[in-house]
Order: sequence, then C-alpha cells, then structure tokens
Amino acid sequence: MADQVLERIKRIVVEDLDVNLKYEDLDETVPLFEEGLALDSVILVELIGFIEKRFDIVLDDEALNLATFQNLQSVACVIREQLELQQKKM
Amino acid sequence: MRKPNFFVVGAPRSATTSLYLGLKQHPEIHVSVQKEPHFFGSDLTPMPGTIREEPLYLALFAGAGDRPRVGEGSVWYLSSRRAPAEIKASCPDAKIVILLRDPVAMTRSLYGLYRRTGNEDLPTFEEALAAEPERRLGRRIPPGAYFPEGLLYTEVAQNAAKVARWFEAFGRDNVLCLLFDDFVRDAAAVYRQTLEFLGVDAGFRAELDPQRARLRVRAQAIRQLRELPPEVRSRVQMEQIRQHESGSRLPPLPADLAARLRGIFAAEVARLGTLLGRDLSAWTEGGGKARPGGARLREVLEMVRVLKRIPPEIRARHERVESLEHKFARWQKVRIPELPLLQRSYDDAWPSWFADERERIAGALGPRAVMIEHFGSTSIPGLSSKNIVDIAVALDGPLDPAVRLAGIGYESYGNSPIDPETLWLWKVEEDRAFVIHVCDRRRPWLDEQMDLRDYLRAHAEDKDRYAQLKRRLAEESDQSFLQYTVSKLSMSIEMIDRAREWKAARRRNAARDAEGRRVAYELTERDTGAGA
Repeated sequence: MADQVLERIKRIVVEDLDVNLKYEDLDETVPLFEEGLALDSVILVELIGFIEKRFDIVLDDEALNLATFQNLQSVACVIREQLELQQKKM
Repeated sequence: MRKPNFFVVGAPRSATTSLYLGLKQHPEIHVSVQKEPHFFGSDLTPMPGTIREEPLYLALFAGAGDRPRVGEGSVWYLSSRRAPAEIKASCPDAKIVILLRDPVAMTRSLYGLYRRTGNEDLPTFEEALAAEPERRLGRRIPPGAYFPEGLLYTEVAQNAAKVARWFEAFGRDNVLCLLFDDFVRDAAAVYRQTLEFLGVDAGFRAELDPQRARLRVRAQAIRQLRELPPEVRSRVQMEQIRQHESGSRLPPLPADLAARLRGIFAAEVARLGTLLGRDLSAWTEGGGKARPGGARLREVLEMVRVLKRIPPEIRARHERVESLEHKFARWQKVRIPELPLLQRSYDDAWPSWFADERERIAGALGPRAVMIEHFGSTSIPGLSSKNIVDIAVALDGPLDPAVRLAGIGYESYGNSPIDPETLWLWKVEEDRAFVIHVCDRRRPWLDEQMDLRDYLRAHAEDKDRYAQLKRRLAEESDQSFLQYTVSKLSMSIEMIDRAREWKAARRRNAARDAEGRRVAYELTERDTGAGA
C-alpha cells in the first residue's frame, strides 16, 4: 500500500504535470521546490488538484502546508493518512 | 544666516525629488527652492545649477525663519568622496537621508535623463555601458556633457562603500537609508519615517503625488524664488530647464542586457544588503517583484485553503478557463516591468492617450485586429489609477502580434494575468505605460472585461466601492500579496457577476424594445395598408 501511493504520485508528476521530468529522475526524498525538483507555484496547485481527483480525497487546511510538500515521501504520507481517515468514516 | 541641518544626499533617479516635494510642504521644514545646489562635494564637476559661493548658498535658506529643520537635496553628494567630511565640518549635527534603488533600473533611468539633457550622446544604453572604460580615461565624453562622472553608470550604482562613508562620518543613527521600492509601494509610510528621523511632527499629511505636490508648493516656491539673489535665480532656472527637458522615450531594456547587469551588480547589492540589514535579493533576481520561493509557496498553499471556502456555484462561473487556484499561482509568477509610478486620481488625459495608441496599434496589426478597446482602471472616469493604460486587442485568424507590436515599442511579458492564452505586452515610457492584452477574438474574458467596464461607468455606487477597496489596499502597506490578491479577486468576482447580469438585462430590454417597435411598425403598416 505504502509504495502504491508513492508510485501513483510519481506517475502524476511524470504524466500529468508539465515538468519535463522522467520517472527515474524522481527521488522521493529530494525537495520538490527550489534546489530539488524545482517545481513552481503553478505546478504545486496542479499537483494538489490531481492528488485530490485521483485519490478522491480532499486535502484539508491542516494538510495544506509546506511540511506536506517537502518531498514526494511526505506527500505520500499525508495522502495515506487522509485515505485511512476516509476509510474509517465509511 | 541659517545653515542647513539635514541633507538628502542621493541617489540620483531614486525618488529623491518626490520625497523632497513632500518635505517642502511640512510646516516645520524649510528646504531650499533649488533642490540640488551641490555646494559641498568639491571633488564633483560643477553643473549648471551648482552654487559654490557661500553667501549665495546660504541665501537659499534665508527664509527658514525659526523652523527646526532646514535642508537641501543634492543627489551627487552620495558619490562624492569629500562631501561627507565637508558637510560634517560645516554642519556637525546634520542628519543625512539616502534613497537607494535597484542599480539596473537606476542606471537605465539615469541614461534616459542624460539622453534628454544632452549629457549623453550614445544612442543606446548598451553602447553607453560599453564606453565606460574609455570614458573613465576622459575619452568619448560628449561635447555637450556637463557632468562627465555621471556617465560612469556602473560606478554610479555601486553604493555600499559610499553609504559606509556617510555612516562613518555621521554615525549610523544620523543616517537614514530608504529604499525606492518602499517609497513606490507606500510613499506615505516612507515619508512618515523620514519625519520621525528628522524629529518633526510625523502626523503631518503631505501630498506625495509629484504633480499635485508641485501645485501645492507652487506659491511658496514662487515666493522663495523672488527672494533669491538674481545670480542664484538664473542658475535655478537652468537647473529646472535641464531636468524637465523632454525628448525621446526609452526603448525597453533587452532581457539579456538586464540579466548581464544584474550579474555585474550582484555582489555589490549583496554588500549593500548586509550593510543595511535589508533583503535586497529582489534587485538581483530581476522582475522587480521577486520574492523568496518559500514565502511564495506558503502563500500558494494559504490561497488554496482560502479558495476552498468559496461556494462551488460561484467558482463555477469563474472557472470556465482555469481554476482560481491556477490563476492565483500564475499571478505569482507574473513578470512586471519596473515602474516608478504612483497612484493618481482620475486623469482626463487617459482616454486620449488610449485613442492615440489605438491608432498606432491598428496600424501595426492591420485588419486582423477586430477589436481594440480601453479597459481597466484608466478606462473608468472617476477611478484612481497608476498611469497604466490597459488595452484589449482581439484578433481574427492567425497573426504573430508580438513581432508587429515590437515595432511600435512593445515588449512581451509572457501571458496576461487575466488569461493564460492571452499575450501580455508592455510599453514603458518615462511616466506612463501601455499594456496590451492580445488574444483570439473568442476568448471569454474579452466580454467579461468590457461588461465590467461598461457597468462601472454606469454605476457610480459600485465604482466608489471599487475605488475604496483600491485605496484601502494601497494604504495597508504591511499586508501580504495573498491578502491583497484575495481581496481584489473576490471584489472582481462580485463585480463581474453583477456586470454580467446587468448586461444580460440590458440585452433583454433591448430585444423587448426591438420587438415592441416591430409590432408597432406592423400594426401601423396594417392600418395604413387597410386605409389604402
């Protein structure tokens, strides 16, 4: 499950976002912005949109902070939490 | 005779005149009517307005009476090696005010001034920069030059060591360093800060728009001039003629040259930032509005959180082209030319500026440009704005507008903040700018913006609300980009919705009227027909 979420995020980054990155470029511990993958604010907004659509979750206020978007690992972590929360609700 | 006890010492082209005009209005301050006497700084070449004779110089302050602060504002003192010590010897308790500006914008503006005044004769800024090594040796100085050291542009912009000289001579507490950027963003706050530094009533409110400020101090200036010895008066006039001489406007600064200059100035800007304890990275990053990446991303996330609270039915109406989040994120990346323009109240000249520009654009684009319209703040009588004329251009069929518009002075700045598929081009002139938003005739924002314009022109109450918001946003200097954008975005969403309803109602009414006329016409026809 853990790796599945990460794999899906990587696919979103490579296939859906206009970032010109290859799957093998994506290291889950590299920072997403600045000196890492150098994603910008537009890409960040698009990434949030794709995550919410593909995983069918809503990132709440708490999830939407810079710590979540440190790297792909932290993003995956937050998604997994949200997925678990929703499963409990169901 | 009173001696000055404060000096605005520079830098050139950094809003010293605007600040000076503000100081002129203050009841506890007397400043010389000739802003730049350049009495001190014996190492500087005397200019036409320079006053080196002490009695004549002191005559500038004869009318000071018992006002606590007496000053002048010679912008080349900053560069002078001798001025700090000379002023210190003559006026030991003096306070020093320094305004500093992004070196790229500052040197380019100086070049523009010198082209108009004749101090410079090289046709492009690039050539002028290239000539600097030779000019340092006294060669290639234009025959009409009156101030050759001003032509060493990159040297003029190296300010860290110069500022340090003033710190050393007067002590840091007696030297106030202000940033041009702050003054442009919030002139009132910078003015207040200056008054506090000078120890006069900081609550005094001055007119800080240069044009209106000049009108306000006009009577006083005329009186001061009348009291001056004739030899000083003639020099003041020469100085003013020189400053206000108009001439050809500056072409846009090529992007590669701007980048090269930022590289040249990077180390110096860093030194100055350290000296002042201010983050000046925006000066080296270019684009004028650059902010640190972390802050930008935090703002985007905050924006996403805020936008999630907007009801879906409202969002649906405004997300036909792109999501609001996407639009906001794009706005953050938008590149805006550096413009030292201030908010001003509505100016009758704006529509005529548009009309003239419309002709030029129509000429450049030909019949494919099916619509050229004035919109935005300057298109609505009564609204205040900066001197920026927004122009919507709709094209029918393929055309590369950027190339043709470059021919009439426009530089491309990527996509318009209004719409991701609309090109955005700027033509920046000395004290005004034109902005073209050019796109295919079917882009939806065209109708939206025209409706909004017509609606605000016809509805004084909503226009005033819009104006109030703009004023409030301009006054709150410490708000973040996010707060500013959210307030503006939510207001424009509301206004665009109202405008759309109003336009639709008008169309319905017009249709009903037309229908009424048709029926009436048919009835008359029938009547007359029956009578025949």
